[in-house]
Amino acid sequence: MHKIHRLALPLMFLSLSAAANPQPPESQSQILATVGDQTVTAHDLESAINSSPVSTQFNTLGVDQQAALRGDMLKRLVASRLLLLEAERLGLDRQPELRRQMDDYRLGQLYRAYMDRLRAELKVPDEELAEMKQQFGDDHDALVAAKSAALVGIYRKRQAELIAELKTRYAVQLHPERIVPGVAPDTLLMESAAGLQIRATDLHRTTDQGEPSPREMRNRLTERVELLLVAKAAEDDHVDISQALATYRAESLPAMLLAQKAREWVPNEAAMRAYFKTHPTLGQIAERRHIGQIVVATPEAAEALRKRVLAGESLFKLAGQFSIDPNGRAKDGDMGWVRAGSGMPEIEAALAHLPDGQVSPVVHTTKGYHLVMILERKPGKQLGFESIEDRVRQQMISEHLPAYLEELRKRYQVAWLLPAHSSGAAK
Amino acid sequence: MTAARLALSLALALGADLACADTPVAGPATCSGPALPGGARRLAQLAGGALPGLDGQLHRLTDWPGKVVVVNFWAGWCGPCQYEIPDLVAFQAAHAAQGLQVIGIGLDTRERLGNVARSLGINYPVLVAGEGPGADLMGLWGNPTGAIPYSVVLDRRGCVTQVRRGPLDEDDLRDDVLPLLAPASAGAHHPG
Repeated sequence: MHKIHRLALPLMFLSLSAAANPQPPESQSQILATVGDQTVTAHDLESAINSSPVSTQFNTLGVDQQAALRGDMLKRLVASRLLLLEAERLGLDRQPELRRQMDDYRLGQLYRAYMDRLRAELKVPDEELAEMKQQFGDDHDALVAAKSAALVGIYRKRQAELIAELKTRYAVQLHPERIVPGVAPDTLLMESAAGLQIRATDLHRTTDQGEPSPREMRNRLTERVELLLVAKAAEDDHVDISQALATYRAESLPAMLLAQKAREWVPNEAAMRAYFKTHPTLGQIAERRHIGQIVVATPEAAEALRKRVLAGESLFKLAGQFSIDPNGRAKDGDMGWVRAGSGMPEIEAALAHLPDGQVSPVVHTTKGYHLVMILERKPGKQLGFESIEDRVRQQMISEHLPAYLEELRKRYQVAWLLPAHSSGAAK
Repeated sequence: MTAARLALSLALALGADLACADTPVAGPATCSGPALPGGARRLAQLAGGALPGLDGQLHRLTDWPGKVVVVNFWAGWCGPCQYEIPDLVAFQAAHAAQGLQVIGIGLDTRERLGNVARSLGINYPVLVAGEGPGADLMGLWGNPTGAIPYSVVLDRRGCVTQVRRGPLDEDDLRDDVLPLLAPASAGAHHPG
């Protein structure tokens, strides 16, 4: 499932026809969009941003850039809701594979919630803590490490006590002796008066290559017993994980649907090879050039500096003194390695036929008057299919996805309910 | 052990002597908390020059006499710094009336610091030190490694009471800063 999630995220960047750049919401419960009977609230949007890999960078951006990213994220969330509704319509939520995953997730969440609560109740005894403070004085790092080590010991002891206590509470009977080579899948390995059961098949994993050894099976049995007992105790204590389960389902179903559609759009390797044959630029890596640059405000100043470079002065020293580009000046004009084709068109044109180590004629752009120089190059190359198989696959999918989302948008009505104060930035 | 930790350990081991070796400056006669690697123990030795704040005014770290001060070095590119800031914001809001003053020292550009301050609702002064000069200032404050977040806690007299490498959390603030705010810790005199 994780693999599917990784696939889904970049795909969801694709645009829908309606665009929106919402400002920070005034209320977390504010509904920003509705998709059929689904909603996207301000809370959903902020949570998605805060849990994204770029959340730290997001905070460093200006108001307009943040609004643009919020808009992108909102579009992704709307796309996700569309896929969720469609996945439900197609009955993907009734597939045994999803049910099994949801059950594993439910057990894991119950276990975690219960053990987190237990861990939060643990503390290093006052006397022991006082001794540690005496020993480590102001060395905070050492004190923290000692406290952590002590807490780990206390936790392990309490965990073992808890499992023993739960085995008694739920009248558990274990049958590890039934684990033998070739054990039948329905062999009962654990049963309890509370209705808990573990069969040999429950210990198999999709990643297993062949039958696990009896020793490995016994280890898995121990882990599974612990998981089931703690999850049962959590349920008996009415630990509420309904929100986490709903979120898991709402994220899993779109991913499952996308994976299904991806198999349709990219049926096999032959299709990918055929696509690559007609789109060879996917495998092209452009030449990279190490560039030096001076930017000044007038053509006269640029010509004067060009003469000084031609007379033997260092372009980099002059850039450090005279460039009006603060970034370039700070780096003495060293612009680093730049991919051919990625610069401003006027600069690219000047670089196209410029021999290495020679200063260019003066180039005029909206930024000023430039002198550029290529220090060295890394040649471009053409990659083979094997090296870029993933890129070909993504490209094929991204060609199909916008039309598919548009189709879903017609099936499930999307309404944008953006705050009035953001209307200037919308669309 | 890093050079900084070795220096700190040595400083701790030599604590009493270093207290006597303090450069005579205005402020309390002695500070009994940890000495920083350079030997300094009090604000008056560490304050440095004036720095521009995000509020557009110039500030000195001695501008908050009589307060319990948490000096927090951070930058916009530093994820752990951003994780601890909401705790500092909540702590400042809860204890400003008791004399708490969190001060952020930003090792970053004014623009990025300002954006983070707006995004996270920072409610305390942030002084813009920039990357290079900020690292130098942090070296003076006992952290020559340049690793952030880094915080130093000073009591109402301007004496260093805690040095923290890495993020401060709620437990740190409760255990190490809150007691300094108690009326009994008000201190008899302010740093000059």
